[in-house]
Amino acid sequence: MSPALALIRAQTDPTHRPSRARAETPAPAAPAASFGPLEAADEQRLVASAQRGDAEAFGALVRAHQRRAYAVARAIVATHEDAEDAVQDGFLHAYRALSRFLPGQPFGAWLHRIVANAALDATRRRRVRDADSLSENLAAGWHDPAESSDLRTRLHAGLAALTERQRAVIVLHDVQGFRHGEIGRMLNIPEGTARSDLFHARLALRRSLRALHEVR
Amino acid sequence: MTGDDRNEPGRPPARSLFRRGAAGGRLPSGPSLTRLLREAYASPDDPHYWNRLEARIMAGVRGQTGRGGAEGWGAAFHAWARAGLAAACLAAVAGGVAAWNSRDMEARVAYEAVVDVPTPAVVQSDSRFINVSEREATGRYVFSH
Repeated sequence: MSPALALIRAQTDPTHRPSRARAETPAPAAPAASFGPLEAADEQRLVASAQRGDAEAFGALVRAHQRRAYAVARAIVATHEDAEDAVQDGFLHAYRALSRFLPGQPFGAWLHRIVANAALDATRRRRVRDADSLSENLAAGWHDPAESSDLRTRLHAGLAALTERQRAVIVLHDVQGFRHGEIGRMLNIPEGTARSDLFHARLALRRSLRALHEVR
Repeated sequence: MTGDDRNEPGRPPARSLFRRGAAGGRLPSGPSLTRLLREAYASPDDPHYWNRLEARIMAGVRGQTGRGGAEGWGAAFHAWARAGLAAACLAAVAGGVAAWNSRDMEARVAYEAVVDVPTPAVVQSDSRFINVSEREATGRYVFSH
């Protein structure tokens, strides 16, 4: 059995915990490159197999990266459904572009840029389609937050007041744990701009929530 | 919230949601704001959800393959594109050389056609003596001596 296929089997076997547990670790603050040295080598083998047309190998890559890809997309788009679409589009683009992927570069970072671009495209389409409903759907999480509804409302209002880029930057940094440089490459902005956006986004959100506290 | 480049997920939440801001108002502290954001942007936790998403993505990939994706004619085209390009370049170079030689040859022939004009005298003298009768020739011989 080839190492790539062995890895696929290991990832699909529920009794094999180490790599799967890592892949299913909740997204918050996981490092961008979640593969260790050995796993990175396995990943390179999977990429090479996928480049030769092995759909199963690409499936293993999807399995390993879809959570992180979703987190990237979710930080940029307005709704869970748009994030799902962006993830799917991103993976399809990545599959089409596999021949252009250079061996040795981190697959995750390459994939995240593609998914981020797909998410930015989805945001532009959404803006054109129904700009009015944007603020309604902002940060509509998969689970209802445990916070009181007024706090959530205030947070949503604060997020809605941010620019799309500021919102993406603060979520990618504070929620997903990406570095400024990584965020800059994903969103096609200089690292300094990412830092500045983060500062202003935090300030704006704190001000939104402060008003709530003062009412209390 | 710190100005650190990397977040600190393991950090315990602050005791209070709010801290005193520079302007005198009380601002929510960094970790609590981060916690709120994480809850708002939480990824689905259900493993079945991720299985479904993976199946959906792979269905799209297989559909693309059927339509000529990475495994179809597109991949074959890409594989042969470089060889085809090289062959086309070679053919273009060979064509160029052939055209140049042909032009050179034409120029040489044209030049020779202009320069190497056959001497009409020889032809005339030949033609003059071809049709003369024997009697005329004898007469000319006699007159000339």
